[in-house]
Amino acid sequence: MAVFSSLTLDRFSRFRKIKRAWYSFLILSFLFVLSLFSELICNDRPYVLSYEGELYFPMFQFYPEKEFGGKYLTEADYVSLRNSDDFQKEGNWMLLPPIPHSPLHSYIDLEGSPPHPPSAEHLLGTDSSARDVFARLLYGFRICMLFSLILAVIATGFGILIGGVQGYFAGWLDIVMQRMIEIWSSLPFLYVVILVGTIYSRSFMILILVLSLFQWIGLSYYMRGEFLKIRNLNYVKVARTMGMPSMHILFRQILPNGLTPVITLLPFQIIGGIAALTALDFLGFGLQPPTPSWGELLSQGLNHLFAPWLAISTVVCLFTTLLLATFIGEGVREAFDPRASSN
Amino acid sequence: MKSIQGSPILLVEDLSIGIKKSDQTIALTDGISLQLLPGEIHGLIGESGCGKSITSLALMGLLPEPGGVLLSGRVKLGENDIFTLQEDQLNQLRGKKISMIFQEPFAAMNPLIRIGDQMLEVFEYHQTEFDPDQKIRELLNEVGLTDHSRILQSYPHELSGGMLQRIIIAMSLLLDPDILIADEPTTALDVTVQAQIMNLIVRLRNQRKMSVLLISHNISLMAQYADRISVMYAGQIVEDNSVDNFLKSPKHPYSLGLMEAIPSLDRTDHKIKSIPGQVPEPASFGEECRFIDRCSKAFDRCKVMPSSKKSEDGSSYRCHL
Amino acid sequence: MSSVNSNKMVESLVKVRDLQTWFPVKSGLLGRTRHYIKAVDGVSLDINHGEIVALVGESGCGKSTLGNTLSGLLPIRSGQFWFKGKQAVNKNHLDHSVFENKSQIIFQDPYSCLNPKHTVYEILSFPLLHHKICDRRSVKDYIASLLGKVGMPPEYMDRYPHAFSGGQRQRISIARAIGMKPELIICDEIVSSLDVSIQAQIIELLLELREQLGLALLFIAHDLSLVRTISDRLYVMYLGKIVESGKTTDVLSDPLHPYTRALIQSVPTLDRTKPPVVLEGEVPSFSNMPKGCSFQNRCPNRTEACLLQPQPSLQQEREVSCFHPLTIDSQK
Repeated sequence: MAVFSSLTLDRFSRFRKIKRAWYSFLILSFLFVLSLFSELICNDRPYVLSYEGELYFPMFQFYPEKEFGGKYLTEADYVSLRNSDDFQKEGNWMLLPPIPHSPLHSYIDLEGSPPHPPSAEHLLGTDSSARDVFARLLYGFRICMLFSLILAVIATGFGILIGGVQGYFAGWLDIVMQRMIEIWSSLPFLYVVILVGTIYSRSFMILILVLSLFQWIGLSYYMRGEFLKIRNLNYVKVARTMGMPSMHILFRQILPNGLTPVITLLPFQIIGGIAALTALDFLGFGLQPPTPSWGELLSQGLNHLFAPWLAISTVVCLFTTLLLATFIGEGVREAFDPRASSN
Repeated sequence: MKSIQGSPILLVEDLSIGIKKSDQTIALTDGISLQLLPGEIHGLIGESGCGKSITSLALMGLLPEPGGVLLSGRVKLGENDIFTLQEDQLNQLRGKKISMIFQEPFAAMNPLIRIGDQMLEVFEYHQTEFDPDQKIRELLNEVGLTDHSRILQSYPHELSGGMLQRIIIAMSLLLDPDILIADEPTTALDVTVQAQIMNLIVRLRNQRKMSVLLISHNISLMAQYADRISVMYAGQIVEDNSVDNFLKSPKHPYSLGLMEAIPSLDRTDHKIKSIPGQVPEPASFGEECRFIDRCSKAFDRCKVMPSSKKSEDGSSYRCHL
Repeated sequence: MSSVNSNKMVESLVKVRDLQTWFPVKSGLLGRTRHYIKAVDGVSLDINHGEIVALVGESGCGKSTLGNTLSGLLPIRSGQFWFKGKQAVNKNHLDHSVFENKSQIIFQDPYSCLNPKHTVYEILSFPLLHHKICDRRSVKDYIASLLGKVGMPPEYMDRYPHAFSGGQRQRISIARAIGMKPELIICDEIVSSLDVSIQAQIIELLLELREQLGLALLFIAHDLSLVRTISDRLYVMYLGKIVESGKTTDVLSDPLHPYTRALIQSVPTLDRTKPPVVLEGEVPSFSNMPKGCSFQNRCPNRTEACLLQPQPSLQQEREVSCFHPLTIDSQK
């Protein structure tokens, strides 16, 4: 479609030229895609397991304990399996992923009491429930990014719709909606989240839904402004005089030209989403435990200041992610700056 | 029409201005030469993209932003070579020796400051022997505005375009410059107001013996108000002549084309004839004559850029014919 | 009173009578309407099939407001408007269905008239497909032919507006307008922002299209010299009212209204022996209109009679609204 006009391609190439932003984009995207395959990289289940001559694929299939010499029909505990003498008899081997830990497994057998400091086994140590910190950071990163991406998409959708309607129809409708939005935005979203979370379960989707009820407000202001501005331009007037229907004018004439705030705001929406989720998790009102989450790790870090690896590793991850996203945001803004277009 | 005599008060010699982009330098104007005699109204005519505004700003030592460079040539204002001067020396000249007015009166004034205060600002940077308030009132009279107190107290948006342009002319003359550059001063104004403003400019020239560089795209305006005319096309001066001679017989094919293309109320039987094609982009300037694609008289010699030919009557034009 | 047109037998394409477009100026705490800007105040005009009619005036005279009103963009306060014999005013709006797309408008600024995100193909095809002028299979050929009519090669249809110059964009706007097979095109200062040499190209194009397609044009402009090259008849507007009308060559050679004469005399020509004559004074603002004739504060012939509103009167097949119209003899 016309979205990829040469103007858009020109902006994209300008974005690429801003090295800091472009590399940040590449790094963040790479890490995000990597995290999507967390189960393949960081898991206590081996890819492949050979036991008594037979091959098993525990990462992809369920095997009961009985299969490997256990007593029960529940899933085998591959961690204890790999440590057991029985398994280490000749002929048996398992191929483990690079980080052979799951974020949910508590290594209660380790020496000392949790949280355990970093070691060869656990690069970033364990948290207060003896779970591997690195694994929790990785899975937590995925949840964080997915959460904020989905939230950004939903909030953007609402923002465009509501702001667009306000800006296009203007007049009475705009004034009424504006007052309603002002009232709505004065609601303390944190309490609403807590309330809803308490009444219903604190699931991923419910949190997204509740937060998205507030996240769209900022964008709608921009979209309202864009639509108000564009509807007075001559090409829109011409479309009206040529009898084009309102739907066409809204979606085909105005919207493609009003998308600049959407794109420039998107990185900051994502940052906002990450921050919101982390804050909620930190306070304990976010995702249900034992879901791996950075906010929860931060709160542990605060409670166990003598175990600095908890706080430091989480803060570094958080800081890096937000920094990369900010660089991307800056780069997008600069690439879309109309004044910078030459000729 | 009295003949203008004297040595030039402003001399532009072979001026070339370019823009430096990341990987290349593009020349926007090429070898501009013109001279302004004392008390003369010299018209610089050209269409959009010909480089007339860039040239006019260069006369004040201003280069296009960003990346403007002086590629060659010089501008001599009296004894001063403009591009060898420092910024503070240039600032002393601007307004005092050479002054400029632009097309859009409302864009030239700060909408948040009263007229009187804006006019006084001129005196903040220049020392003069006379009393600023007195001078302001004198000039308002000169430009035909008598309601001083109301005007000085007003904000720009409270006045009409014509009145504002008069005020801007007054402002530009506060320091009694010898030269006024008027860049499309009436293009944004109605034709009745245009007549008022042009009349005013001619009257000021007569009273003050000031020189005026009148920049416009309107040949009829030149015909009525200018003494000499220089025609610009695609960054070059293609013809330079006295207006009388120019109107009788323009020499360059582009000038001829323009004369054919413009309607004029006095030429009742004239049917306008357009010039085909468009002005070439600076990036595409090559070795050949820049008018070659649009010229009905082009022949093979035109593949080489013609230089400016001078005739005995003092005119010059850039063509192989 | 209706205007005289050269062809009384054939019905006019457009007939406008006493059209008023007023803009309310609200002020005060309650936003009550204090007064009105009478941008178009009782305008009557006729446009015949295939005729090019010019509407001239200086800025603020209401000519653009009139153009916008006639194309349905502004509400009408009162007045009548017939298009091809059918009454088009419905309460205070123009009923678009009466036009059936036979009336199109082109605006002044070439840089904002084309949607920057659409290719030329999309710009031209949207209205064609929506109004079923073509179907999906024939639209591409039709667009190629439209581009040909305005002097552009068919390959241009895949380009975006920013690739084109001002003159080329106006051609595209013209192509868009003629694609609807209109009988009337309102040209609102369409060449005013273009270079002189390009203006001439567009004028030639319009004249050609009038020949080929039998179009009528309402050519709104402020440049009298340009208007003479293209129009058959001329209306002169001042502060919301028509002050004079008639055949273009007649009006321009022998103006009857003092304003028309002042306007003509202000225009610089190539004849150095005839310098422009300055008309002193300023256009009164709409909120400060004089009682009676709106031109009186600048008129050299003003008398007490001018405190009343002059009505159009017929003088030898020309119409003028003045108590002291200039006679043909008084010119020499």
